[in-house]
Amino acid sequence: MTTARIDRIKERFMNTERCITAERLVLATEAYRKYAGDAVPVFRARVFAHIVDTIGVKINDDELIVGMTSGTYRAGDLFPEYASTAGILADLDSFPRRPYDPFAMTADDREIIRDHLTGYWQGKSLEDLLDTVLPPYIREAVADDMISIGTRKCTPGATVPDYKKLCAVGLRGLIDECEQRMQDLTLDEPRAGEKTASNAEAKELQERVDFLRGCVITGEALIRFAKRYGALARVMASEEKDEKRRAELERIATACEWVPEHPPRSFAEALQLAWFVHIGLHIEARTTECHFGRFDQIFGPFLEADIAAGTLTEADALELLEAFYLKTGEVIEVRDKWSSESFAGYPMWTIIMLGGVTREGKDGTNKLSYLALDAARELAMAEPVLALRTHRGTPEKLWRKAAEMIQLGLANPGFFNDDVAIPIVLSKGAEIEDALDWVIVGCTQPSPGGGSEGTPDAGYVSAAKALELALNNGVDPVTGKRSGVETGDARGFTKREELTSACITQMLHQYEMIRDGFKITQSHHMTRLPVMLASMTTGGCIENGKSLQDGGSTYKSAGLFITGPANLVDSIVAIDRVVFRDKTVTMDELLDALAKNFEGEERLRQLLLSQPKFGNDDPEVNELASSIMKRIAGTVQTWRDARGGRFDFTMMSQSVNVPQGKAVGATPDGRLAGEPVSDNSSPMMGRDIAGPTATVRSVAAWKQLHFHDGALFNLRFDPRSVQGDKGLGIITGVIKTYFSEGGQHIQINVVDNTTLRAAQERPEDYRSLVVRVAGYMAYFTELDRDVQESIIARTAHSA
Amino acid sequence: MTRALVGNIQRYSPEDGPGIRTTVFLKGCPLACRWCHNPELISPRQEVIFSPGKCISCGYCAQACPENAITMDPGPVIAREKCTVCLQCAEVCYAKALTPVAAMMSAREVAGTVIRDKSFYENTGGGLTISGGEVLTHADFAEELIGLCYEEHITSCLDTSGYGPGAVLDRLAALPGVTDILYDIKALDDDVHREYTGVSNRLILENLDMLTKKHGGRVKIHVRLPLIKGVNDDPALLERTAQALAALSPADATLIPYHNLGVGKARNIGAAMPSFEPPSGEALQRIQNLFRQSGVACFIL
Repeated sequence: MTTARIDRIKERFMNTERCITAERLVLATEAYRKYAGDAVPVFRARVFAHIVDTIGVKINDDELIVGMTSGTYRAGDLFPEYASTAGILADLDSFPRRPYDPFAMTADDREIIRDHLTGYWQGKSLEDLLDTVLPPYIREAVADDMISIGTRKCTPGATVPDYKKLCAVGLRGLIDECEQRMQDLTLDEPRAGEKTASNAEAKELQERVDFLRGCVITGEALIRFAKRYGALARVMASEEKDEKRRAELERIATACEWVPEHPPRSFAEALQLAWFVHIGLHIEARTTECHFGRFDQIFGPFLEADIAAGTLTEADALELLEAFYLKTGEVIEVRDKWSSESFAGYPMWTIIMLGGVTREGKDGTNKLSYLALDAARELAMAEPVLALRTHRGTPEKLWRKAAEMIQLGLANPGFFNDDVAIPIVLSKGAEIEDALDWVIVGCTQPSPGGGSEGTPDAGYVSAAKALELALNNGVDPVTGKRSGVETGDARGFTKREELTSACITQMLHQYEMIRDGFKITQSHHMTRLPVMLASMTTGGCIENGKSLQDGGSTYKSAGLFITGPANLVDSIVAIDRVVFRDKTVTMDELLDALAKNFEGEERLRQLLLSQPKFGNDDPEVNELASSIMKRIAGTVQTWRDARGGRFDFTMMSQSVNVPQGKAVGATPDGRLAGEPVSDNSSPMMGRDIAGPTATVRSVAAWKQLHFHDGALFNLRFDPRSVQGDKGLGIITGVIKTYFSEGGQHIQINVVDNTTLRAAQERPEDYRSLVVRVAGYMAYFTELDRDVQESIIARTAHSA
Repeated sequence: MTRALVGNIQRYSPEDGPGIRTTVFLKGCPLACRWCHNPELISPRQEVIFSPGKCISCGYCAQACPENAITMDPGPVIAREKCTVCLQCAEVCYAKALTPVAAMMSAREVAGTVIRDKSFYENTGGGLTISGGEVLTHADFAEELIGLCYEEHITSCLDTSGYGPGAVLDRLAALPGVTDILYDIKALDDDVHREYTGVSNRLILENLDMLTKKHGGRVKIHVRLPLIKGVNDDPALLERTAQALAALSPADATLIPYHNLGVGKARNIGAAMPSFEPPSGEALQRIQNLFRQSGVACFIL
């Protein structure tokens, strides 16, 4: 049961529309006019300082954790340094009504935004600049939704600040370290201009000093920002009539005056420290995927100390935690059309990791592991995203608590397998302690603890497009352009391996385009938009005197994504059977049917649909699937990015499978032109019809250990199939089995009526939806309409 | 090597015994319950089943039929009296709208599929369930399948109507690896039983008595009671049932309210089936209490 305070905060949250504010844009414009000309890291730090010294501060009723990214509640800031003005201007008048992720906006703000964007920023963004420097063939491939190149309009990195260190030394400790490092550099190493220094050495030295100076400015600015909140809380306390609230505001004031500058003295101060750093990251730069790292490991000791000292009850700790969670949803990224469609539903990927082994390899479960689950269960919100690491020593009690949340349909937490993640992280080159201490950097990607920077999104490759190119000797049948490489006339292919090789060649060509385009993107980030706060709080950057963008962190990598891998595999299997083995149709006839989008060829389409599909635990299909991805991963993971970071393959798509699917014609697996392609590591929607155990075994069969950024797996259950005590056993049993078969991550949805209704509307997309009828399970779409109706009625009763 | 007509091998069947199970449905049952939810598995012979939702009305089936038993309207209408179940229609049906109800499979082939989910069984305490149709009419096949699974450390559950030779049931229940038996009681009143299932319940009750006495210590016997409103849900009858069961002390009893799943399937094999109603929620609660008061652990599915 949440407290009345939490209910009020949640109500305010739910009843406030997301909006866009001009505040940051105006201040950034002022700062750009004022400070342009200084060395880039110093300049960017001064821009940040100007914004946080001036931007509105506001403490809302009932809050226990304070701080917002602007003076407006639930408002998204604009970052003209990153995203092209064109994207924002295009939607400026329609933001409140656009069909994808709308935003409210006041009329005043709209005009201010228009004036500032057109008056100063046009053509100045990173996105605009990249449009002029990316080679035309890469630009075209992006425009045609054949590939995407990530981070052209936002920061490259997912950020996992080293909160453990911040809690130990405070921002002051980091600032002191920067000062010390600067002093060491300038005293011990050859000064610029001195004879012993080469030009390159002198330049690099100066760059390091500039970077460290920028860090100092940034750190001091964030401390001042917190103190502005402290001062506001003092004023509010003096005016507060309610005695209890006055005491709270005084506590808040004391906290904001102390953290993030100094090490926190309580659980509340530790959370407040984390919150200031978190919003600082979102004020400085357009960013998402800023995580709190191993939450229970970092903040648990504060909780336990408070409880042991008798200064905090568990009930108060839960309320505090919920107040903190509710803050995480306030942070918003404003996205253009493509990004909104590709990352539908305003996600911020604010990840809180729980459980798993410690740096010493022992089970790390503590009081906060449980409390953090309780808070998410009571709130049932989309953010923060809980990620539960599990291993052999994970207590059954923790398993059960997490499984109960799944059973309730919360789809939170996601589950992660230490047995797969730790070897993956080791193979990325981590030290053993850092591998045991692994964290998610991005969405589900396992990365070394203690200073990882991952650029989760170097780009997305469309596997279904690669197949189309392989079937058409490098010519895209949708655009008519020669956007692939010549892999031979497919009508001459007689064996599966010829086709498979051609597809792999086309895919690698796409990945090469991403690699080359992304390296250009990276070099622009490193020279123009170093992200100072993220850099100074990530392990390695201060020591190396380099920003994250410049390769400063201890570990660094860039993720290579994929859409439609299941369509690729299913199509190869279908062609192998129907064309090569059974010779029911010729390749020529098949290509004709695809070109016509199966018009007048429904029977052929049905034949293709009835061939073995990935997701049904067919050994031959599983083997082909894993061998293709192993070949891809084995090649791209040898590449290095512009900072010397690794390229890591991942079976992840988010919802980019929708726009990339739109750009792909009909495929030989029976999919029609323009339909979404398969997502993440999943089977094609509706094609896994042998039940969830077969789906689970198939997805594990990709051999995920080979993918350095892992594989995302989304499984759905009918609520009635996982009811009661037995249901809890089934949920944990399925997860444990998936993990023992080599799965790295799984998230489980328990479906609701909305899904069942949608399944009635579009049965083809929901063929694998299993429902419990009475004493047995059935495929929902295979049931009579009457039966469907009665099931819908009943499920509503039980919900 | 024994073979049987297998209607379906359903992986992930969490309701057919403990844990996650794979349920093997065999074709052929000596009963013909009017509310059967698997009417396509009653006949021991192969049949063709039609799935209207999948049909694209291409008409190839009508052309392929050597007996001219199929007319199109707009999907195929099969004159079942002419059909020799040669399956040529199913062969040309790319949309899989016309399919054979079952496949003739060896116990080893079936075991091959069952074994694939072994780790799910290990993590949930599940295993194989043999259902039907009626397992007792496929005893040799069942015995071989249970043995093959046992070699892989997979345990088995039998789902039976109890209508078969007692010696056969005794033999199967005694097999190593059999841990659970789901045992249906359709109606304690023999007149009702005869009218709605086509056979007397005497053998079934005798077998249950034998089973609980002889194997109840080692094998968990779960009684299942399909409940159909106005047919077998008479409170007085159920009170007697509860008392009779209490004397046999099975592991538990599960009430299975009627569902109309079988009606459509019967239509799709060219048969007809009446539609019934399940007892109300409150009635089910009352029945559950009745059993609990008699000392029988009772659940509602």
